[in-house]
Amino acid sequence: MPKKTYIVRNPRGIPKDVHILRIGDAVWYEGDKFIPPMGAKIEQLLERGFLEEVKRGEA
Amino acid sequence: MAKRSGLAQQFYIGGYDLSGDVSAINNASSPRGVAEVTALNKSAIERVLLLSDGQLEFATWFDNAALAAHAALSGLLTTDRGVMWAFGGSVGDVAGCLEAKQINYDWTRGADKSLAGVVACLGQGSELTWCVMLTSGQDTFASAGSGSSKDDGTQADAVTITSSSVANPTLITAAAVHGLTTGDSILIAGHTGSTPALDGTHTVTVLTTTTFTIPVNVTVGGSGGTMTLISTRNGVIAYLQVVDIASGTPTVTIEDSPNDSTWTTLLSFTAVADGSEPTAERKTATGVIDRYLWIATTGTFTDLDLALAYRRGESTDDVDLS
Repeated sequence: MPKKTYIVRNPRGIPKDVHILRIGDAVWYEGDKFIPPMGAKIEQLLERGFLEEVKRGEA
Repeated sequence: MAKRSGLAQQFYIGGYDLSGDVSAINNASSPRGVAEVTALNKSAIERVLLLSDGQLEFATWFDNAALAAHAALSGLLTTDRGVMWAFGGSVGDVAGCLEAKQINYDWTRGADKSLAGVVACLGQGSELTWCVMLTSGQDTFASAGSGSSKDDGTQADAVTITSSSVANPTLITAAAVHGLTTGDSILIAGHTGSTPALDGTHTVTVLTTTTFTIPVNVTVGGSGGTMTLISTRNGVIAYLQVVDIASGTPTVTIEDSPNDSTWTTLLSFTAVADGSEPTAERKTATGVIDRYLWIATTGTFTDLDLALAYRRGESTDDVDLS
């Protein structure tokens, strides 16, 4: 089953040239495609608007 | 923390490190106006708090070396100045911070030939903020990266959990009023019997004063243990002092995390190019702030020297950052 894909959002209004998420050494900017790394807990990121799920056919 | 002396303190203004030039802090205060509004049916005075102010006055020795007191203070800049009085050189040390107008640079030449100055800084729209340091006094970032994480721990007393339900998301029932709001981060500890285990950090969706859900698919319900709030809800105020940059243009950010592994950018200070330092900036962010904080720097640069302090907002603050 393919992994779900998300788009990174910017609920805190961080400037465009600054990343929004960091897990380990990896960073993601607003608008980046985000495929959760193994073991990453993303529920809070979804709850607070940092991630938006890409529905099938939208990616 | 414990009782301590005033030894080994640090002082910054506008990014200038004057720790070696400032001899005393004469006054650091936030006086507040008070209106007496006693009604006819009261037998003692009632008071309403009015505007707060910030003041920080310090004494300095004359020093006209590069980047020392005379260079920092003699210009009597009319622009706002960020002032930071750090109580030590460790992460977590207290720091009094103020966004201020520097109003004087006054000197006395004593009969003993001493040369002593006094400088007063008056708050510019905000009170003197009692922060904690997120740097070890002054830290150096050789290149882009992150500092050490600071764990601000739990933010409320633990509440006993009665049960977790078989559901997705699982329903948690507390033994007492939990006091949570949707979006809070909690730490569950000592909960037994559930599949999967629920101990760890979660984000809650509140249903009632004693129930909430967490986004876990529970197939066998559990019982017992406690939950503790680990996020705060009233934003953050942060003060940055950029002392020196060897080359390049760094951007300083603060990131927060509920679990010390997944980080989100909480706020970003203005990028500073080599040659534009020393400089200082005050920034705020609103809303829920997670348990762990650290500094992260981005951009291409070498050897950034900085000091950074922050304060988590509270519901009783004059300015609501929730």
